[in-house]
Amino acid sequence: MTRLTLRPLGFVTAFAASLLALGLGAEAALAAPPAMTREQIIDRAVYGVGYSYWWGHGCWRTDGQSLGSCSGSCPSCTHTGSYGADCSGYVAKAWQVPSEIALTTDSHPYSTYNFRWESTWWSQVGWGDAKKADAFVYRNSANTGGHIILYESGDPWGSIWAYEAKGCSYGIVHNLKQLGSTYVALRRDNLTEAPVNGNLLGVIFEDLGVGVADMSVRLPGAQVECAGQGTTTAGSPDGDWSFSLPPGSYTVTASAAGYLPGSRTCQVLSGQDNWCSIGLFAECAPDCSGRECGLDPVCGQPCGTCAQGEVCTPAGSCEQLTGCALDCTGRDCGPDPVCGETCGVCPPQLWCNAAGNCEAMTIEDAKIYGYVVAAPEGATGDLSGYPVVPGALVSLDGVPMRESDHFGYWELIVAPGAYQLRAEASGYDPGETQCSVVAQGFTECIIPVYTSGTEPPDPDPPDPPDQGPGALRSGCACGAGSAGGALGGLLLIGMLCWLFVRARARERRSI
Amino acid sequence: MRAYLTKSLLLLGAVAVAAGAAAALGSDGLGRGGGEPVAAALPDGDAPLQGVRGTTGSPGTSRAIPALQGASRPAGKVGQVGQAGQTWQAGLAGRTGPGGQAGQAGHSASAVYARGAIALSPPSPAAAPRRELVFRLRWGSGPEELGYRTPEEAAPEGPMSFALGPSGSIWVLDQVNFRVQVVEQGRVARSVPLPNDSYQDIAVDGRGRLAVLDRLALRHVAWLEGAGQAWRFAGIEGPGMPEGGGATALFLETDGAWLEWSHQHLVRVTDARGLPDLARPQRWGRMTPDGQRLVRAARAGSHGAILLARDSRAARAGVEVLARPSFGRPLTYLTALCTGGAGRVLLGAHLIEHGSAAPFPVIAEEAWALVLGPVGQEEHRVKLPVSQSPATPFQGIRMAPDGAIYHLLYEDRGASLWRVRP
Repeated sequence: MTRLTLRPLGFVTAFAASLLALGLGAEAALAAPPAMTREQIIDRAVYGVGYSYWWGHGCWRTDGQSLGSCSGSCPSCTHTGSYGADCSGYVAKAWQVPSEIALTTDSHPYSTYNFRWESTWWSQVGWGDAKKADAFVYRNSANTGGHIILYESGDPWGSIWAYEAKGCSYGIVHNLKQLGSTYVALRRDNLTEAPVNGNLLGVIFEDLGVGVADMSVRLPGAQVECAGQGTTTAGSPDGDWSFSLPPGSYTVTASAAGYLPGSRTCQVLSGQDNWCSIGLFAECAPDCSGRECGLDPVCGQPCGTCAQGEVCTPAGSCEQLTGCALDCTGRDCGPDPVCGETCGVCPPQLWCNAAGNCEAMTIEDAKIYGYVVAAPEGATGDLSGYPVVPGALVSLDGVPMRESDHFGYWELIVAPGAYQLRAEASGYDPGETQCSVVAQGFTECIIPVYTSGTEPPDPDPPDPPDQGPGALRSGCACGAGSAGGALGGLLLIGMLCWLFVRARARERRSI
Repeated sequence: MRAYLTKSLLLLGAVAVAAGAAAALGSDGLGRGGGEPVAAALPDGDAPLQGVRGTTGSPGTSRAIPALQGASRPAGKVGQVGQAGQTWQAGLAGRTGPGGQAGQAGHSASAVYARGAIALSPPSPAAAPRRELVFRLRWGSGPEELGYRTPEEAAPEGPMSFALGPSGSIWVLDQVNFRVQVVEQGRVARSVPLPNDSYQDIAVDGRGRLAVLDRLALRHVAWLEGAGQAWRFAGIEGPGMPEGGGATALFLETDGAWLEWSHQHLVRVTDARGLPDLARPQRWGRMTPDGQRLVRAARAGSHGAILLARDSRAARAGVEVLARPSFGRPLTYLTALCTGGAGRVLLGAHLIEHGSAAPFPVIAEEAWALVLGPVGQEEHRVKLPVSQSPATPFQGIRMAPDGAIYHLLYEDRGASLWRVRP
């Protein structure tokens, strides 16, 4: 058994202890503490929890056996068994100071006097800088009392999750506590900081259509899988979960009975809490009633396809298209690459990507969508009853973004925020409206253009003016006016526009 | 635009803080962080407490934040800017109470206006909060004493908690001496023996039922139905309470004993008779006396806290931000969250400011109790004396239904309990 017990019990003994410490320092200098990570220190401390308080000692096992017991009032207390520790023996063993030593080998190299007033293998750090596996120590001015704990983390109040050999009645415990300012923070020498895990954590909630803006409905019991790392269950009642992971990027998928699975990819930064909450949409019953084509408006499930040469209206009926052979192969939404006609409209909570498929929004995105309608001058209130205007140019905060499709429909993926929307169409006076949208949310915005002059235009023109077969109608138009022409040009313009909108969204997020 | 408005409001707030700082410091005349000399300088009788009402100096400002859901937000106004030499009350208000005013009797402050407004008004001429000594008992193990120990190589501890009992009695958890000391009229009227010396929290109710929490050694709630009855025990670890060391508060309610986990949710561990509750229902936060709301608090940033509330009756109720009080020094930890009559909430805060270089000396240490009204408006901000003991009580602050604040203080030779009537 190695026993290097320094236990000053008064000024004289403290002085003697200092002299002894000098000798110890000479010995310890030959056997410096091993390089350790903070996690390795805590791992050693965890094994000690449940063992008895043993004044002047420090040893425990890793199998939780032979806990021992303590009775009475220390130092005049009675200990039974071969394992246990007092507070300084516990910290010294977890820290492995002055040198590497087995947990089961009894040792007590330092008292709280040494920890408080010396800096043999440790140094003082600021309270606010304390990290996992640092210690807090106090020693009273009469030199008759002292205590030391290992810091693990904080809680919402700023209380400390601590490992400590608390006292005879308690033994070695893990608990939340608060400390007075008489304590000082210490950090062991020779810590290796690489790579410290970060916490990837979050809650699972029902997405009520506004993303993280409303996380009030939690889903405890949901399964949470971190790809390649493991699975856990969202806790009760908050639906909370967490993984401790090395720094990096991780994809987390959540699933719960009655809900559609949802995923997010989040970054884990070392030593930090990295939030990655996931909203799940309630499973829905597709509603194709009255529809023969397109996607059902509830779940986005296909309701059928139209015959060659027909186009699917937003209402889900097939309509004869003249002059162009529509090709919606592999597409659920957006413009077809041949005619530029719409292949369908996504349900509000999804957006149409460049490949023509409906896709879930990321937590940073939001969707604004709607129709351009022809309204009489001065019309206010609900504009949804007015006829739609195809081929209208929709601008976002003054920047032309895209044209409304054959059915007057348009959609944009944007950063959350408030926007000024404007529509221009040949034969109409331009109109504007304001819309705002939250993260992962969606907002329908009806943009009017106004009938002008004494000859109001045909409220429901079969084709927009100046656009023959093959003209871009439902695709993006990054510049003013329409783009006509070849398939390659259409695809190029569509892709450029999509990239522009995404880049703009990122730019807004970074502000 | 939104950012501009926010900056403008912050700037106005900063001006208000600066305007109030000199007056506040002048009136306090504080030394090291305002730390009042403990024990020796405290009179046994009434003594004015160094308290301020929402003062904008050292303690900082309190900002009531608009509720996320269902808030009433009538148009507001900006109060007049004060004159030099006056102490001002400032608040960045969010939600209005009835009539758009603070709505508390005897309190003339007009800190609460509609969303986003900064309201400045002179403080009420009413008297400063008064502190009264409820009792002072010496350290020891005698009949009129309380146990205190600072062992060598173990945690120091004094009376870990106290509870406000019926008829003005104070039940002090004297666990070091294996007992509860029941104090009436400033004297120990009787003692209740405890099964162990490792209890850390206590709760009593109007019927004289007593519950004590041992979260570390025995990890149970011990329940005493009344004098002459036998103790009943219920284990605390299980669903909602994965380890006893994470218990942060004990509440005794008509349906049983509830424990709080890590200052977050609560779980019921006994039924109304003190027997283990196998169902272990959970709730989101601490309940207000009227049963209407649940509340939680947390540190927010280095100098502030956030107070959250939720409707207790709606399963899908949203969480609203009730207030965001801030302080002039680093908020090291919160010490109390109490709910009282008239929808009041008490928030305790402990502030420690250290030097920035080794040996990181303590520059200032302060303890504060904030009383917030039903919509989060700050009614009072009371400075409490700071103990220099290395021991820290598990629960050192309570609030009575009438709003009086009780504060347990460890002194050199004993413990004292103070009542503050804001």
